[in-house]
Amino acid sequence: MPDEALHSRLGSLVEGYAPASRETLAAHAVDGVVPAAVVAPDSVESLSATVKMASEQGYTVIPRGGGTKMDFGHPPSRADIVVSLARMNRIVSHEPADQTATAEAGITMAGLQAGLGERGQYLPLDPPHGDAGTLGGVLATNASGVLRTSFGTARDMVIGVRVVQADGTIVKSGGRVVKNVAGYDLNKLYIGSLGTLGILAEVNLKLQPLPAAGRMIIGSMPGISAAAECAFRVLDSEIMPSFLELADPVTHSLLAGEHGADRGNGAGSGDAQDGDAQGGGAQRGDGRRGNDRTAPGFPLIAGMFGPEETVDWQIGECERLLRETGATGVTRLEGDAYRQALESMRAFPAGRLVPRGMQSGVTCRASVTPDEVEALYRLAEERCGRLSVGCGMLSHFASGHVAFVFYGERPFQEADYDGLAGLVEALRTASEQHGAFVVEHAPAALKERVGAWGSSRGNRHLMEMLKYRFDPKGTLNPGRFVDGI
Amino acid sequence: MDKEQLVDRLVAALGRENVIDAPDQLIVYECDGLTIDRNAPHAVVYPTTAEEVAAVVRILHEAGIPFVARGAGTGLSGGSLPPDGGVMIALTKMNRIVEVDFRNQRALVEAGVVNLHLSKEVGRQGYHFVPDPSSQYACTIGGNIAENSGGPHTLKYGVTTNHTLGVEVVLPDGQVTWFGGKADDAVGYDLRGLLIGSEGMLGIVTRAWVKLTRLPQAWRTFLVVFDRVEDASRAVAGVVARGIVPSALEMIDKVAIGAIEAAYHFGFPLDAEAVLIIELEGHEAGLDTQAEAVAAVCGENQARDIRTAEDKKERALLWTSRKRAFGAMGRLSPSYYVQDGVVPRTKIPDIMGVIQTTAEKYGLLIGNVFHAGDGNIHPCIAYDDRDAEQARKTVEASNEILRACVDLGGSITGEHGIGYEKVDLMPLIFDEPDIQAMETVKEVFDERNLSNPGKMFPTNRSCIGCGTAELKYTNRQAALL
Ligand SMILES: Cc1cc2nc3c(=O)[nH]c(=O)nc-3n(C[C@H](O)[C@H](O)[C@H](O)COP(=O)(O)OP(=O)(O)OC[C@H]3O[C@@H](n4cnc5c(N)ncnc54)[C@H](O)[C@@H]3O)c2cc1C
Repeated sequence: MPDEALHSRLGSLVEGYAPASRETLAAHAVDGVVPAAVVAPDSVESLSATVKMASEQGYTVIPRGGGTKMDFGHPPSRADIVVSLARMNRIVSHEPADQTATAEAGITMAGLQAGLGERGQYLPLDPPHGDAGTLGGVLATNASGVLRTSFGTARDMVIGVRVVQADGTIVKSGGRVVKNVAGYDLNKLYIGSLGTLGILAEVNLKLQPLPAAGRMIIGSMPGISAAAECAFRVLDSEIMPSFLELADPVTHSLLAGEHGADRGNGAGSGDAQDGDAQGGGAQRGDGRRGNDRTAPGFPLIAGMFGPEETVDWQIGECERLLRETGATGVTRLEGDAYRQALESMRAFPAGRLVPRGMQSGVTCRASVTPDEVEALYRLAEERCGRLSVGCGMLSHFASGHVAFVFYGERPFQEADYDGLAGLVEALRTASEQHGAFVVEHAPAALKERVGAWGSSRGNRHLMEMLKYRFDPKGTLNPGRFVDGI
Repeated sequence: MDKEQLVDRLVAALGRENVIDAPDQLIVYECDGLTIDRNAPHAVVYPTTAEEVAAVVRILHEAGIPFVARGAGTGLSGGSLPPDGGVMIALTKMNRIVEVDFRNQRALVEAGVVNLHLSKEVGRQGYHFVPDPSSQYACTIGGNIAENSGGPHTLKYGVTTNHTLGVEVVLPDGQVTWFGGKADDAVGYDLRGLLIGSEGMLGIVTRAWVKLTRLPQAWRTFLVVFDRVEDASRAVAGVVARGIVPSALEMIDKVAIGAIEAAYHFGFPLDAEAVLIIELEGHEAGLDTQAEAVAAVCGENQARDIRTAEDKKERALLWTSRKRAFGAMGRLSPSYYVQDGVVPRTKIPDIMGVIQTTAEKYGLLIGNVFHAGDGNIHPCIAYDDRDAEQARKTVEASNEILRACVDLGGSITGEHGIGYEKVDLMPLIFDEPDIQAMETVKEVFDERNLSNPGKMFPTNRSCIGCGTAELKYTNRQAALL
């Protein structure tokens, strides 16, 4: 189909549509696949009309939020129309007294939180890319951050959605109330489906009041075993941490540099693939290289939210446990230092916190049980040591979520892929004992080789059938998801 | 396959002791907690392992015979009402707690484990399973998963889906698989989340990994007494609006107080129009500050009295009285019909007004005992099931209340499910394409519509009631819609 016809169709459906320049199209390529058009509908109705037209005319549609995770999954088998949600960015309603809100999917997380914050509330979901990432993109990838320890993931706070299906039909599931079991819980199905079943247009959310106080305590543990042991003691205690993070020493010193306690002045390492979240000081390091075994201690980072007195008591108790399990140093952070430390943790691994002079190339996430975190990290460290690859880790310990960043002195190249593939396979085998191992950002050729997603565990047929029945023509994000969906 | 052949095959698969088919024994299985509709199954089977469930399902799938899972049968929406000519698969013999992993704070349980048994088992170590339906002394975790059940204490920490990591499922064709597992965030579509709350229509849960939660350090439990229902309702909205998240926030009105007091003699004030049970939990440090804030809100809303549970024993008694309230309502009339609807929390004053007007309009006695903190109402209508006219009015009144919930921005069920009861009410909140999307899911999982047919979808009801079913009144109120 000639592009002219496509442009005129889009022009008639979406107000303000103009064919994009070659550069813009190239900038919207998904893992190298360049689209024919980029369009930004400004309402659910025009989104629906766009998708309907695409489906009827046999175009494929690539939904796009903030563009922070466009290299997730596999390259699409075809990319005709990139549909940007950027103009659908309003908070439609916010009912503070009900602790609920409805927002359009194209709103950035930062915009959403700022809007809700005006009335003392927030969505307790803090994935990487918090500034530029959109609500829809976060939901489509089921991204989460440190707050999942206490509030869970998007699946625990989305109470209803409006979705544009592959043929353009607008459907809803759930509702606007915090408790509701009417009908199947299709919200869950859309969250984490990478836009392969429908495009999230509007989302109803369950909110939380902004906490009165927040504080952080960091223990320097003699090694990862002691850090993990202490984490288990905290979890089994009366402390109810809002977050509980295990980081490797290098990552931690970078985070520390980031929040000003130990700020180096190294130059950032660039990363051509990732245009966002590079701002600020995310790349500043303290100059340590690789996995520096002499780094001071293995940090365990705990955070507490809530009323002042409660936070105080918990921090005190946590310090006691840290010392009992062998902490060589304990740092408490509050006020601005606390906020900055939290922000920099939230940027990992999106901020690509790697030591000065290093180039990050691959980020992955593992989901395991908490008691597997230590072994997984040791495995990663050992394999990386053999490859002379740097390995950074941040684990939301209680949920067994582990984010990895792998880096080297120069961008990874063809010659590195054998080693990296072996690394991914080893970690995946270990993780898939109970959980999963997903390659999030990586050179397309490496992703293709190891597969971004790993195993769908005997459920391939059901997933393929769901995709087929929800999107029989393969209109939405074809080929990007697990099992080639 | 005729009935005799079917029973022979089931007996061959499970042994005689695990198959029931004598009509007098089947009576018990004609209905669940929604006693208004009844239908007898052809047979009831008691598998003891996932493999046995799969063996039974394969037999039924091959023969095209519908089936329904049943836990304890405490469901209140007719979820386990048997389909015509169907087989009931009872999970009650699969009641082992297979593994408790305190370190990772999770447990592997069979579907037939009674909810409270798990919390009791792990309670000594300072843990519990958060979802605590009022029926928890009887209902099963499989049933909780199928209904995505809540309870008084799910206000703060979430309902069953928020506490379930993975489920082992026998699919409607007899295949066994896991959705999710011991770890979080399985790859691909969230089939776990989809299955939870699907009311036994997408497969039969045989085991599950569930989360265990540390018991809090401290509690404060209050009984707050009001002279007007509106004041109590405003106090609920006020607490939530203040940003306080109690672990439980329940309301009981005068009718229900009378019934509970007659049954349990807790000492509820009989002259009060409404009481709130408000529980705060967390750390000793800071809890009293929160308690003061709660007291202030109650005071602003003309609370007459705020009593504090003095010790664990008193707290336990208070909760037992609350959780057995529906049973106590049974003392007021030959039958009672428990409804389940949701409104935004700020709309509780409005819906309580509607309930009162509706009770007056139909001349019915309605008691209210419910999860006020999340806007989840449970009007409980006392009626005489031998009086056809009263039964009709009961259903009409309850549908009217649910419609008001929807008009106020809420839902037709917060925790009891659509089941058979609310099939015809689905269009109140969902449009045709919305329901179509759900039916598409059903078709993917259960092409032949064998797993709990006749539930949830308006088009699907004909699977029940063509035979000898004694279906009376539910959802025959098309005129109301
Ligand atoms: C007095 C009383 C108080 C109640 N209070 C509450 C409350 O506070 N909160 C609340 O949420 N509910 C409450 N309920 C409703 C009911 O107890 C819950 O829905 C409960 O989860 C049902 O569990 P069950 O084992 O009895 O399931 P059943 O009634 O046996 O079955 C319910 C549904 O689940 C399906 N099912 C059962 N087991 C399985 C399985 N293993 N796999 C697949 N499907 C299955 C059945 O087919 C049926 O559709 C109450 C009920 C009563 C009688």
